[in-house]
Amino acid sequence: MKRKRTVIIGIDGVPFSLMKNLSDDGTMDNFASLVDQGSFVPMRSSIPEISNVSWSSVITGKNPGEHGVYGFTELIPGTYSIMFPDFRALKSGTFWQENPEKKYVVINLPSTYPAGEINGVLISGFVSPDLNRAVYPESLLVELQKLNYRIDVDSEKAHRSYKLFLDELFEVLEIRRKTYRYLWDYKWDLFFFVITGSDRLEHFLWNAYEDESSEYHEKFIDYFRKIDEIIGEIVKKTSEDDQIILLSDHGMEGIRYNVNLNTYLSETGFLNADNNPEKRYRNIKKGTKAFVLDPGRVYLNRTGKYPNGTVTEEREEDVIDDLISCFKDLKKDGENVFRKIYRKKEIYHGKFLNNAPDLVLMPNKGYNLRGGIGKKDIFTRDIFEGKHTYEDAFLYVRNGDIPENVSVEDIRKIIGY
Amino acid sequence: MDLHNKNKTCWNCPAAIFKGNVDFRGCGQSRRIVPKGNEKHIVIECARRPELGHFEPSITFEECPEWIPMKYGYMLRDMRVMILGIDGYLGWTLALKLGKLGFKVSGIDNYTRRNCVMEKGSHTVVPIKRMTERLRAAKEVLGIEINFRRMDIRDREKLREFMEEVKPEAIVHYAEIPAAPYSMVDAEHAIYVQNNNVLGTLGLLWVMKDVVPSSSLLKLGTMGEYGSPLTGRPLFEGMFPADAVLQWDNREWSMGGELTPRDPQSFYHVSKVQDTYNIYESCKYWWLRSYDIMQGVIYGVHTDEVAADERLRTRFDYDEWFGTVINRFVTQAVAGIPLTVYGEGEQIRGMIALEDAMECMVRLIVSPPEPGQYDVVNQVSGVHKIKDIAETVAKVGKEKFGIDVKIQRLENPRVEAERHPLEVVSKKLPNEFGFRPKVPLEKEVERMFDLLTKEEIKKRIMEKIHVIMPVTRWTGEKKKSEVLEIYTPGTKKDEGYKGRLDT
Amino acid sequence: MSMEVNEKSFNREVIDSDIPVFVFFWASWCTACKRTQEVVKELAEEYNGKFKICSVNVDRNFIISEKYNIKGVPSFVIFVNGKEVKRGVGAKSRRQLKEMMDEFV
Repeated sequence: MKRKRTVIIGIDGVPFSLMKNLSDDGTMDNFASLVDQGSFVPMRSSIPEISNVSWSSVITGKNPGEHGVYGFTELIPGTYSIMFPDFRALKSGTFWQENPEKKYVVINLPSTYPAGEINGVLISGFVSPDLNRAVYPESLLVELQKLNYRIDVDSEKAHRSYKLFLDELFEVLEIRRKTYRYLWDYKWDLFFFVITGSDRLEHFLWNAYEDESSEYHEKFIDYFRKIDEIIGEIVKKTSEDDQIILLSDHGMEGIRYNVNLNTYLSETGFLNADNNPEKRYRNIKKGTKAFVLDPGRVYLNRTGKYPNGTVTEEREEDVIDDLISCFKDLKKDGENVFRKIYRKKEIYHGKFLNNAPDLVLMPNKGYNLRGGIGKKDIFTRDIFEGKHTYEDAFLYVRNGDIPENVSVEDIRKIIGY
Repeated sequence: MDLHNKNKTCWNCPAAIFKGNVDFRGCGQSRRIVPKGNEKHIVIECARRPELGHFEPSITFEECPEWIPMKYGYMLRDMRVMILGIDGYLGWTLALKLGKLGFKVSGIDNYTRRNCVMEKGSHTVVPIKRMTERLRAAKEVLGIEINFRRMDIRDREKLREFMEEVKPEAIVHYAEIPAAPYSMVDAEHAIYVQNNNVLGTLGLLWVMKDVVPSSSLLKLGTMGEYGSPLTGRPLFEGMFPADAVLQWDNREWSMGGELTPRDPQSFYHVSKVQDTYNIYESCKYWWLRSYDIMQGVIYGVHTDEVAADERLRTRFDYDEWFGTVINRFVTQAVAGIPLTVYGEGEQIRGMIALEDAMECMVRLIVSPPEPGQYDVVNQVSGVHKIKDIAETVAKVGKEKFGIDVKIQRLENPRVEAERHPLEVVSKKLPNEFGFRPKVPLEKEVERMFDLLTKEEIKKRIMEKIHVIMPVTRWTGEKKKSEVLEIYTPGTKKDEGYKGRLDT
Repeated sequence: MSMEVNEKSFNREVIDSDIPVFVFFWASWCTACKRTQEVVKELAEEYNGKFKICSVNVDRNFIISEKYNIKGVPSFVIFVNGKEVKRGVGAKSRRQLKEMMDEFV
């Protein structure tokens, strides 16, 4: 099949099951008719299934061992201070950097801040603290300001009022729609348009989706109806030969419990930390053998690597074995919390294994793994209702072949460059 | 290593970029911000380590590879320090010290000091070279490259340009006319001093705000800002402690944090007080960071760097305008003139030797304040009575150099309290910045005698000997001070108040 | 005892405390705060067991500062059983701080 251009629509955090349900029940008719013209499958996210890791894998086609981004937070080498890796931490080339002869329009793509050079247009998605540095070329800022462009919705609103939060979600979705329309007539070979409000919506109101009697259920469905409208609009503007890809970076499911992993490590003697809430990971004291960074990344507190490092090279294997059996013991209501525990070499390969977690924990359904230091209880609930999942991101392709057991790392293969 | 600034963090570091992620509001003003960024944590970027992306500003100097340990604390690698007034007594000395330690030194000067001293008909006792030769010698002898620009601090265009080029991370402000008698000569002089000092500083603050808002300003104030209150109230470091309490009308208030009263003693001292207020305001409005350094009377000739070569020597003034009292006494002793004590000689002052002052400055430079912080340190290593100093100088002159020194009391040309208590609080430099004075009074006096008794130097003293006796009176008259008495050292009773230094 | 408190720990340490809590809001650039900090530390010793003393840096915790309407620093707010019962603004002498606290001991 001859391919002319490629259009990618990303919908952050939407699971295969949701897309399937809503296309089957008529909510997302445009998507449903698309499905008839191509292949629609579940897709594996990255490990861990965090947006910035996953999108980084999408745009580089590589696993974290090669692109260097393992999570939303990292510790600054030689310290216990937290940093938030952004585009500058990415150690592998993106498809637009490696194919500069093609032209691109990229809108709201997470993990690309600060916006660097691109042959075309790049607007970074979350996390982008400063809009002025999230746009290439800078001249585009003028138009974006006219559109009242915003990088992200204000999640604070959700803590105060779901109604305000939902209003803002719809408002920002409309701004995104206007933005893509404005940029559609640029010259491009690849048009990459990402909607991120979906992830925000699902985190706070996943229960409103599952429970039809919820007062926000209709609004939730309506949001996806609007997304479907946009999908329809875009598809109409494409020609038959254009490749169309729709995808999410990870799936979502309901939370039964948050699991504060460092609290468990404290109780089982692996973690020794002070209680000063200001200091967070900087509370880690000597004697600590391991600690966890979001969501389920376990790091050995190695001598030579961290200021209060305790685990020497000879003892590494033993500590890892101890940790694995310790985690296998963690149950709630008789059920194992983890369905799988990976050692780093099992899932990562590449030059940047030094920063990789030593173990990655994959939870059973409903367990939301968390890092953070100083929480009192292991199992808690809070305002959040939705958590990311690994196995059911979704992928749709028209005019392209999907490899078996597809993951986010394969998108570049499907695009062809 | 137990260096004094090891636990300072990104909050103190000039390389930390807070802009855009935190929106500060001043004392007493209302806030309206919702933080951008993640999870309500404050995040910054680092100008020197962009690869860290966004992160918590919690890395200590000890942990950060950009901060390297040295004698006086951790220093920012290749830290860019700009010295305003780099040709002066202190400016040149500090430039060499910093350069030797590995700082990247830049500076400006317009030779005001040289010109003013020439106006008096005097010259520096220790010969100094022209700036071009000084710069060359610094390179040759100490391996230091100094980026020098000739300009007036009040030329904001040029100043801004230079700052944009260099992007200093700390600015040491020595570009003021530091002479009390000079500011009392007549209206022109008084206005010139206040114009240069106050408006120069004010302009500097506006330039800093635009170009290098995260640089710290190390501004030389003076102990003379405080005056010498007859009540004997201690001279706190700029601001009252919280348990300093005002009682009145059966009510009580804490004075904590308020600026202590100022009682300047000349129009020059007034200009320093004005500076204090301008800087205090700019820290409030623009989140600048500043140390207001209340330096005691400075004296001495020696640091290892200026002594390394003749061409590197710093100036030494002894005229009645620019000479500081101890420097004048030693010069007078060498010249065979009885030491000129004004009035009773019971005046008590905080003092500090050149070498100690330079060490303090380095310690302050490497331990910057936080954004918006205006802090004051009393930079003093000893508190002495004028007539006691005369006795010490005479003693050293006689015992070590065989010079027969007499002391004379002159009509005091100044308007000041001659007999007063003085209690100086100087706790920050020793307790927060790890400073211990290294140079006792006698040691430096001896070093001064050593240098000044050299033939070539003594000759220079004698050449302009007429500049020694004071004629500039605070009343405005130009009249030589009458000699009230001449006496032999060791013959006066020790009486009156005793100075006190609280560390 | 005296401790630094932030957005995350405020509820646990202040609102949920069994004993009255004295919260001192400060900023690093505020000279009055620095002086007061010394006095507050001493008071923590003196009132150990009767009062918990917490400090909040307003620049690093704007959400709490806004919630409790902190307009100037230093500010002092006393909480008993999770509710604000007294407040003061501006540097206070040791005696004045004690007077504030003694009301709720």
